[in-house]
Amino acid sequence: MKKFLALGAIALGYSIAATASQAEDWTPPGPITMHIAFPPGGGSDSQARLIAEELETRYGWTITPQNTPGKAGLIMAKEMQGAPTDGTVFGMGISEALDYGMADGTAGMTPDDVTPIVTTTLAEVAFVVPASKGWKNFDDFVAAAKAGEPLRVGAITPKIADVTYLMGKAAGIEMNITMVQGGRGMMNALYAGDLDAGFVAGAHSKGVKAGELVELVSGMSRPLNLTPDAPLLVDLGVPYNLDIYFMYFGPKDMDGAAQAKLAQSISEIVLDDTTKAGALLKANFGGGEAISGEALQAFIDSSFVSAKELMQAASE
Amino acid sequence: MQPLDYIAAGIQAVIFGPAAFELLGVPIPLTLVMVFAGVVTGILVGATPGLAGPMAMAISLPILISFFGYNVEALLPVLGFLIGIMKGATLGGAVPAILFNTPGTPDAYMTTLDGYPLTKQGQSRKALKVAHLSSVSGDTFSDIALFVCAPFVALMVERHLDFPEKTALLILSLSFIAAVIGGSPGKGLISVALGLIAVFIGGGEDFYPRLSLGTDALAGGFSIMTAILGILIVGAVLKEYEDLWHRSNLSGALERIVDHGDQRLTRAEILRIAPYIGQSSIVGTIIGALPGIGTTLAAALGYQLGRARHERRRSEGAPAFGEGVIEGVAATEAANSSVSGSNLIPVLGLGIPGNAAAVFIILATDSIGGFTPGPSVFRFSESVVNTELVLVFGLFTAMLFANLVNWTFGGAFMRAATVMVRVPKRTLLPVVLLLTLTAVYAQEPSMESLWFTLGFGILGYLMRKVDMSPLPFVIAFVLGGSLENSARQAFSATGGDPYFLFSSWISIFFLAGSVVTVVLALRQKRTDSTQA
Repeated sequence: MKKFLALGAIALGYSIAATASQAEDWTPPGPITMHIAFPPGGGSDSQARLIAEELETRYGWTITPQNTPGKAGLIMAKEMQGAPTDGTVFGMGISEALDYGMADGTAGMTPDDVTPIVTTTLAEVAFVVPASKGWKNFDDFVAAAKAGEPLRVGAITPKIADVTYLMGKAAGIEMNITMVQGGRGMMNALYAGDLDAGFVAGAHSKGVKAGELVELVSGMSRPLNLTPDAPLLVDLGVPYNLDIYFMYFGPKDMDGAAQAKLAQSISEIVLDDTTKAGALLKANFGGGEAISGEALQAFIDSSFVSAKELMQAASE
Repeated sequence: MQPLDYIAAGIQAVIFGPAAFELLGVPIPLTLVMVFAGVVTGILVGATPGLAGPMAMAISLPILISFFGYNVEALLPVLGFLIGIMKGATLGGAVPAILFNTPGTPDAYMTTLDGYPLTKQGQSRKALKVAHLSSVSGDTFSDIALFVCAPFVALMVERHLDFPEKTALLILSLSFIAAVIGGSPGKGLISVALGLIAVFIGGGEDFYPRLSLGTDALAGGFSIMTAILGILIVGAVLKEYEDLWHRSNLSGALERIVDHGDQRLTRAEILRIAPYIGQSSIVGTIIGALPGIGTTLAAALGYQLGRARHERRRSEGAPAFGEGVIEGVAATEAANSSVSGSNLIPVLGLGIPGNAAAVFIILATDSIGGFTPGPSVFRFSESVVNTELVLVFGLFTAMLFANLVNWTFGGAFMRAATVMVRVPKRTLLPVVLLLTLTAVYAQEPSMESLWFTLGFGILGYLMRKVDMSPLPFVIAFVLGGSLENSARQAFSATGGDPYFLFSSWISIFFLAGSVVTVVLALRQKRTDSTQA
């Protein structure tokens, strides 16, 4: 048995070494189409385009960025079905497309239908209110909600809407949850006074630094960078979190060497603050966060299960 | 930052922004170069019968974006070029109208009424000078109205309009556009409906892409570029081809009448036309600020009011409007040019485009990051810089520079642009078609987008065949997403109230306005047809 295991370990070692060296050698067999699951122009689109530019500069590849927005990234995931698996087609979206987006089955896909490549950063998700409201912490918000009309709370994705609902349910308050278009739409609505609060994924950091917005709750499984004392969702009795990663993924059964090379080269770019992409991530999210390989697969698998539970809990 | 600091920062964003090149060691700002290029392009395009400013804006936008990129630094150069075209085209439109009795743009039709008789009297250069002076004065007046009014409109909207009112305002804008564009409210409404159906394909909140017939091609919906370039340009090109089929191309054989007599514009003449310019500028500016009513109506109204004024003051035996008087040229040109600045009031204040040119300004800001037209732009935030507001003042600076170019070089370019009238359509149309498809492919490198563009082109052609204006379609396509979003938001923000549109007096007022506009337009149409 021991001998068998030893042989297995050697074989595994060889295969890892082989993939690594193949990855070093890998070059795309043709021009690359890099899908971007966001509309052109916003911060997420810039992030993907800057990474594409840097890949072109560093490796001399030809990359055509193409915006394929819609349904929080699901439209782009669909685009991967039937696409070439040789590394010439992949795209950047958010991890929510693979967990919550596919959890209820209507998309006709599961995370196994794509190949996760690498994350670029964890979105700094925070529950934010305008400073003009005078609410210093979540308790103030709850007190205001209990005192008067239901408050209006924005959500930029369906998963965030569900978590917001559960947060209100746990606190015993009613909220009118309203979908808004992206971080910029949320900012406009908060500044215009159309909304009272909402979870934002990074677009709010400038406003918080300027004292115009206040972060009340961290949506992530870790404390916020700017307001480390704000409670986590779990502290408020919500057993879910909004760990949403910006990430690259490709078609199912993507060439291992391509996957490894892309993961390695994109990681190097997003972790390097001297690149334009790295600097953008540093400014908006506190820095890049590159997870790939088995760790990424494990995250996707567990968040897929958790998303199913979240959906169930929110529909009760 | 204080308001004055914002204005200074906006001017600096243009002057000290990226340089295009260095001239004797002095960096020449890219935005100013682009504005200049835009004005020249606009004058040439305006002077070419069959082309119009919005067409040139449509073709150049995707090409400019693929060249300058999507980052915020691209915004001022791209918008500068588009605004240059918008301003240059109104000026250029007068050239063929005056010289050859052929309006270069639809709104220049009224200019032919007095412009061409002046040419026949050997006074064409004087007529062009009057057109230049009136056009640029009207434009400058309108820009000043924009600079003053846009922030107030935006602040009022932010203070008084909530989600339900914003939804009602969009409904009002769409019905207003349907009612007033193209002369047939019924066809206008159909055009709006088609635009809404097209933009709703593939959208929605559900995971299943709406109206996509289960096909992947439709699941992402139609991109705005394929729809707009298809309807506006490919449709127009196809219609022009059909017209060419029916009649031979005459533009090569135009008669040129030789000027004689004094062509200078005297101080007394300038004083004589000044009241006409002033009157028309006010009319054009007011009309420009209302969504949907274009330059053509402004020109017609300006001309009518000018004629009434002229009749009251005309001495016995002096030529009347229509017989070649410079006041006639001044009244139309000032009116149709003064639309261009004020039609940006609803764009910057509300994010609602009023005409085709404004659609491309919205599209540019949609495509390029860092600037979303709407109320939040005008937040004079003191503790942290509101970069959008700086960009607005940069945009205003670019507009003023475009006016300066028009004032100084515009006249010379107008005279040079006469050569464009002789470009035969059989050469022009394939070039326009090729440029359009290239522009679409540059922005969306897939064959699907070309097929969609051609499909929309056929729709645009059919709409023109039945005398249905394609502009309501285009504006509905641009506003459809906002309409759906604000309606959804209003519904959920009011706690699921199905009667959210009737929740406040302002929104009821807007809704009533949209019904009244359509009813009035229908009655007007009936009266017109009975009289005819």
